[in-house]
Amino acid sequence: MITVEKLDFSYTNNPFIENMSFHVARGEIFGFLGPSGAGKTTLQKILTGLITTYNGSATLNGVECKTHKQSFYESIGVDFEYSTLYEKLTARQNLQFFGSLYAKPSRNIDMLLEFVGLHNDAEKKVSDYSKGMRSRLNFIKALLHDPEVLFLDEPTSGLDPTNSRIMKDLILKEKKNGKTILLTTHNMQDATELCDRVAFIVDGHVKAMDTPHNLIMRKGAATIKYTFHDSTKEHTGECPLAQTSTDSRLMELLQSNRIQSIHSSEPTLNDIFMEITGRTLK
Amino acid sequence: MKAMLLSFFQMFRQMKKDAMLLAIAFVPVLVGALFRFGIPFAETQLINYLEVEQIISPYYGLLDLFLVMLTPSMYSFIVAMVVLEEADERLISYLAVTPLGKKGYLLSRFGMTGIISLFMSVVVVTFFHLASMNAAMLIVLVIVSTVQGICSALLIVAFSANKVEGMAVGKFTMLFTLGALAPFFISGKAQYLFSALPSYWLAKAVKESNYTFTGIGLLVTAVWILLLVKRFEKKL
Repeated sequence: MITVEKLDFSYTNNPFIENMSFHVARGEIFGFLGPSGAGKTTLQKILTGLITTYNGSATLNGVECKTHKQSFYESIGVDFEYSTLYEKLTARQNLQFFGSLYAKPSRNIDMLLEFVGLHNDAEKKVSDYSKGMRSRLNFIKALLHDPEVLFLDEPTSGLDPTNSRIMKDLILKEKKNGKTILLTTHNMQDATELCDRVAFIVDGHVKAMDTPHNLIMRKGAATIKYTFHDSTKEHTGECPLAQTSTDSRLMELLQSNRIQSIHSSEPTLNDIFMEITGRTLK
Repeated sequence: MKAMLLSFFQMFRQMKKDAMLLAIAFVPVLVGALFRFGIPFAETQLINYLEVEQIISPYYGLLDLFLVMLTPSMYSFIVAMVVLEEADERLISYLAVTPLGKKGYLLSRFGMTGIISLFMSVVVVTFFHLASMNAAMLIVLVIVSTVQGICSALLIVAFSANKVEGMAVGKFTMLFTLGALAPFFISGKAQYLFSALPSYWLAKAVKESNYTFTGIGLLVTAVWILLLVKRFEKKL
């Protein structure tokens, strides 16, 4: 669906994106993870045909992004991190206008509004919407023309846990409908939950690319940490989760009910990101 | 083309929600009527009162030129305000990734408004002109003024971050039309100080009844537009 090969791009004389290559299969959710200024937005601009002065190749559905025709946009939907809606218009008027720009008929607006729980606010002006409502409206705006590829930029940013859950469920529903989704995020938990594969992008380079599970497993299995008291002081013990039965001290402590606390500790994608890139995402 | 037309109609929707912009759309007609009926009346009163042969009438050609430039100036202000609002709401970035595209957006705003402004200019000048002017010259002036109007709109959007700044820059763009005074009131080579302003060349064309100057005016405007589009595109 999307193939990037030996991609180079620079805003100045210094290279910004250098020798980047990856492939995203049809129906996959692919996450770009990286700190601010890593090149994620630039990459999205290249893939959406907004930046055309790159070297190498970036194709979407077989079309080279820098030489695309306007019909290219019939097959992609973009949901920016920020609201891109006419504030003075109602939700319905916004959807009607944006949907009318495409050659193919729009998806049913009422159904889309219901899909995100905004059907009762369809006639309300966007200026009266909350941030969560705007995010949901922004999201369905990108679905109006039923695109094959969705570009989502920080779709859960600034949302409360309930709205964040709604948004993630919507994304997974679109994946089930066969859409290819490119997700740009800082949020490792979202990436772990949503993405089939992720790419760690730092300083314009892909530092690692794999499924979240495989990346996490690189660090090794989860561990157990436990504390116990002997006659004088508190001690701490640690062993891999998969080898608890071979830890004789742990077995003995369990048998004698002397464990004071016990915690499992799974590595997160964030730990892997820090380990591989030496950077944090915050 | 369909997307461009829809985007253009969307601009009307925006206008309808802003009373100030709607009012500005009718300013050329009001000012035109004031020029057509008020100025000859004032001329008659002044001549009778001061007992001279003529006061304002030698400048009727210049006043007509201002009338020609008025409609594009007003319409450029309207389009600039709509574009600034859309930029503020980050809609231009979004429209760039729809079948409308960046180019389609710019054409639907500046190009199509230019066409409406051109027709409106012809109507205003036809009904309200003061001097007898060659129809061909009038048409050429209207065309170049329309392009100059697009230039003014681009100047506003390229140098303003929001509508408030846009209103201030909008006043500054009125200086664009002041170049028209130079051929009438400044003699000698000093008037060429205004040669970077398209209106200077239009006034020179009127004063000397020479089409070549309208061509130079068009060329000067094209250079302005190229520079301003580049600057504006950087903001998108």
